[in-house]
Amino acid sequence: MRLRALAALGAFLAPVWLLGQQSLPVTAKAAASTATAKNWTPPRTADGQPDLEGVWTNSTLTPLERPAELAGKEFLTAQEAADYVKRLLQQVSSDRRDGGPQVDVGRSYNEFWRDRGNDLVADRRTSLISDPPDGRVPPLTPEAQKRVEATRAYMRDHATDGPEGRTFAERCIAWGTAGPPMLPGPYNNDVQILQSSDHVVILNEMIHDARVIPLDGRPHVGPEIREWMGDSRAHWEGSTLVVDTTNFSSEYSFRGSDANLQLTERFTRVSPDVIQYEFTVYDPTAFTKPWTARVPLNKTADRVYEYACHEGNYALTDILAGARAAEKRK
Amino acid sequence: MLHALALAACVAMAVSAQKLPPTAGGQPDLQGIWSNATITPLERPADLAGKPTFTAEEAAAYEKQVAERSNVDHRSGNAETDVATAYNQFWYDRGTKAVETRRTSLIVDPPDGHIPAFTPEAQKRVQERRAWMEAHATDGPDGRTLGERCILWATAGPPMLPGPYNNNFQILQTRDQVVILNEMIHAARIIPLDGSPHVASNIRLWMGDSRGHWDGKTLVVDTTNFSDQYSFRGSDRNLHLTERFIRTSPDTLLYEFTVDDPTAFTKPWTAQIAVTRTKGPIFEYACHEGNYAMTDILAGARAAEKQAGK
Repeated sequence: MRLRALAALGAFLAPVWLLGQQSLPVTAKAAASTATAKNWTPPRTADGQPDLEGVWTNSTLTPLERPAELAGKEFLTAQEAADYVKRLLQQVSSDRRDGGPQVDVGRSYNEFWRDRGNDLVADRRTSLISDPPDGRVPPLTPEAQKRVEATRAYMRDHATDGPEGRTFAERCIAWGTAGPPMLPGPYNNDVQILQSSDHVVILNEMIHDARVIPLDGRPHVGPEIREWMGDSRAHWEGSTLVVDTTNFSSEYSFRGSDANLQLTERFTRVSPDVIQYEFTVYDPTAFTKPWTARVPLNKTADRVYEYACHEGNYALTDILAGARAAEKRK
Repeated sequence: MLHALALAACVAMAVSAQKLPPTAGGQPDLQGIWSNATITPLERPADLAGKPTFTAEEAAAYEKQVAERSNVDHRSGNAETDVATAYNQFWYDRGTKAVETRRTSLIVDPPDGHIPAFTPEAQKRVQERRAWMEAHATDGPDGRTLGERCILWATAGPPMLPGPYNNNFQILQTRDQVVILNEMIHAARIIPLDGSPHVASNIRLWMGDSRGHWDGKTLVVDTTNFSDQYSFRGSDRNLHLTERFIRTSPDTLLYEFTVDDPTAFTKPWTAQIAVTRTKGPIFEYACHEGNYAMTDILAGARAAEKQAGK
């Protein structure tokens, strides 16, 4: 909690060159980055808002949750990080041809298509989740556990009945990484931010949806209105843009969340080329406690183009047609 | 002539709009949620040939006539017709009014209110395309329209036209970009205002590549680089679209677009739509969700083939 409170003041983790080769205690890091923040004044938009505009990428190899093998190790040293990156890049490479015919055919969607980055987050934290400190999504509540298991069983039993038995991503409706909240994925990791005097626009390259978010203090829409991407409202807390999102569709679930999900996203420009993006998932009917992740957004010169998902999505039809053919054969 | 008159009238309105406060960045303020719903058709109906504008009484009578004709809540007693109108009036939002200028078409140039003739090559292309679509209508999704496939909608544009519903769009301005979010198919165009050139000609996009600039109080948006699978009323990949947005009063915008595509049309053509402020908000648009029509059309075709012993 203390860490999150400090983060809210704009005291984010310091860049790697300030940390040196050793991981410092949290308070030291916070102090170091406060000093950085003092030395650097974020630019302002024409109407005086902190300027978050531009195209940013959240590509990183750092996973959302801390891998089991790194349990208890919050940060890597520079050497550990270099070894880990090398190993990860080998592991995930779809250019490998050593898995036997079935695995290798699956890898034909090869590295050309991917854009997952080739480094960890700058502070070398071993998970994007910063709270709880174990770097893991907290346990589900018993009722959420039951719901998730029931959904899983339903999906398994109805996987090929029709499109609704498939995931939202396969149906080109929503993507687990496009959010909100926004996470790095295997590709399309770019985010474009625009600010007008009373709205902020966040365009996510993945699934190409733009959130047009009012900044004028108006309330959320009525609770009966439910949206795939929820209903977002933004305000400024100092130099931090805070986006609150509620009214998610009950068909949408982020890592087990339900219709009560209250998502808070925070965007703070910490240097010319970095926005610290932090999100907190608060959903007391789904998770036993709130949890928070931090994903640096790094400036990129790339442009965001249209994203083609539905075009050429033969997979969905083929999966269902295949199932019908298999039924007939029985 | 009429075109010139209409423009003159709009310029006069724009003068009154000049008192409106600019954005923080000093640009004319076009921001807000706008509706282009109108019953005025893009092209002048045949029975109104030679009649470019209505009198006030004629416009009122026309509005009444269109409201009656397009009312899908009407039940004729013919089962097949009535089942087809189960998608009833509840879902429609096509407006009730003719455009304020009382013109009988949205097209202001050419003066006959019609899209100019195709070039011979475009005529051939359009016919071949139509024949291909007919021959392959149920082969697979690619034989269906982009609208049925939830990829694009003819009215969502660019250019943006009124349709049976989802006639709202939202404009936001930053110092060097303008955002136009269209409710139909819910795609947002993010348009640079910084004078940067269009993307290279080998990059082709469903909605084209838009660049904006200010011409006095008018926002001008140039769009090129359309996909050759996209066709607006017969256009091809050489389509150069120019859209103009000018604030004419606190609650109105004039939206004008010019279609210039010398390989498709024998001359450029221009349409104008008076757009009015609406309260909003704009919600998500569901197209692909529940789009059983696509699968059912194709499955129906397969079943029919089987019955025919193919």
